[in-house]
Amino acid sequence: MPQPWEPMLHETDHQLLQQAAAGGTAALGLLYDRYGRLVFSVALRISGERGSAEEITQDVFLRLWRYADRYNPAHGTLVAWMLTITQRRAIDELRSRHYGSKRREVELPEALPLAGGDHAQQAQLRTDVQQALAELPTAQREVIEGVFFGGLSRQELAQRMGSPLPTIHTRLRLAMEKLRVLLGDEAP
Amino acid sequence: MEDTIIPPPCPDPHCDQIAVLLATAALGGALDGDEQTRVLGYVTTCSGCRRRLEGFARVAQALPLSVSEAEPSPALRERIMRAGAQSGPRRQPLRPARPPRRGVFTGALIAMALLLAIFIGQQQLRLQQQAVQLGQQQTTLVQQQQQTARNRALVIAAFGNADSREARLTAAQGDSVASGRVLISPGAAAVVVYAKELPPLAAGRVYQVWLQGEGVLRAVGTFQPDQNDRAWALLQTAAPLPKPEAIFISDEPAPGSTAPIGPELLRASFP
Repeated sequence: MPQPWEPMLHETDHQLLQQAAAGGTAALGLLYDRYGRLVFSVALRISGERGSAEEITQDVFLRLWRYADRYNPAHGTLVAWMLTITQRRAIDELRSRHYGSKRREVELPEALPLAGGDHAQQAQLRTDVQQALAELPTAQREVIEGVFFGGLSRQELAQRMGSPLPTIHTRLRLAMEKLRVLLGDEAP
Repeated sequence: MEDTIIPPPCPDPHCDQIAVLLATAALGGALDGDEQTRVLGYVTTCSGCRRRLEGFARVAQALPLSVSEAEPSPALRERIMRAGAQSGPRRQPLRPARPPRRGVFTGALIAMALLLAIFIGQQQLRLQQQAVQLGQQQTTLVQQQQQTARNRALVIAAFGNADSREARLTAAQGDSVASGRVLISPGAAAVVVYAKELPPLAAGRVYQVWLQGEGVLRAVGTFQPDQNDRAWALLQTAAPLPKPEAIFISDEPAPGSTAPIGPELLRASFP
């Protein structure tokens, strides 16, 4: 017997979001089925703790629902928007846990990140970015990961890596320029 | 040994320094107040920096996809569904899906909006904190928030206009080290100025921005530098601006002059 949510399987993210925002919990569940694992994985990568990661994931999906009017589909994919929120939320949690800084209310991005694309294109992007990171020299990759996944400032990275700050700056700049090219961005 | 990549040519001698700050901003890293002013200044007045930021933002967007996948507990889904059901339906409708706007500055708009969402949000937070400390009323906080939102909308509108033009400001006096950049959108009646190392102002003086074009000279607005002698100013006039031939900055008595009477400090020409 077909389930009531089965017709929704083929609906777009925005259509599901509209239904979830109108009180459709089945649609919220489907959005979670699509992206919950990825959101959780990013949260876990940053926070390092399953309990925190689940809390962050729950927070992200509930924010998605409450502030769905901030999402502008003209600017990019829903998943990109969600992952931006996830990264900020998780970094904030990490810093408040490790450095004792007061947890701030994470401002929701009104302007969206840039990528579009369907699930197949995102799968390709996943392969591309994993490969691109693997091609970076170790020290450059550590700087990127330290800032993005570790929430470390450039000064903290310099201390941790035992390198002068200008060296960290150079690694950061070179790494981002290389990633930009490897991920298909045209040089100016 | 670390490999190298030859960066694209950039006309500005501070390009590499700005690239580090742009990369940090795109990755969500911390920038202090002075660095934020510098980034805002370059991104709002340099198309090369905007393209770079856009490219870095694409990288940052892809990075989350690099993580190894992990499975949350089955109970998480149920908790989210229950919490959603308890929240009830929204009252505001979602905005409809529209195709992306195509225009000269579409990518730059998004890059700018991304940056502004970070910086102006942080500025707003600082203003709020200051207001709380000063015991200011809620109405003042609301006014500040509204001004912040207007600033954001104005800069985005300025970029969205096909008439937007940018230029480098150079010192009018030979021994001055002052420099800067300017973006003007006549249609949006907006001018964005980024300037640094201006000669210090005497008490009761301001820097004033002037526009020459189509046979007229218009006063655009005034600004003050921050404690690092940098200035990022967003100026809007009541009426559309003429097509610019030149923009210059002079040292004038506060609150500004109806015609320039003080020394000219910086000038940009628009051929």
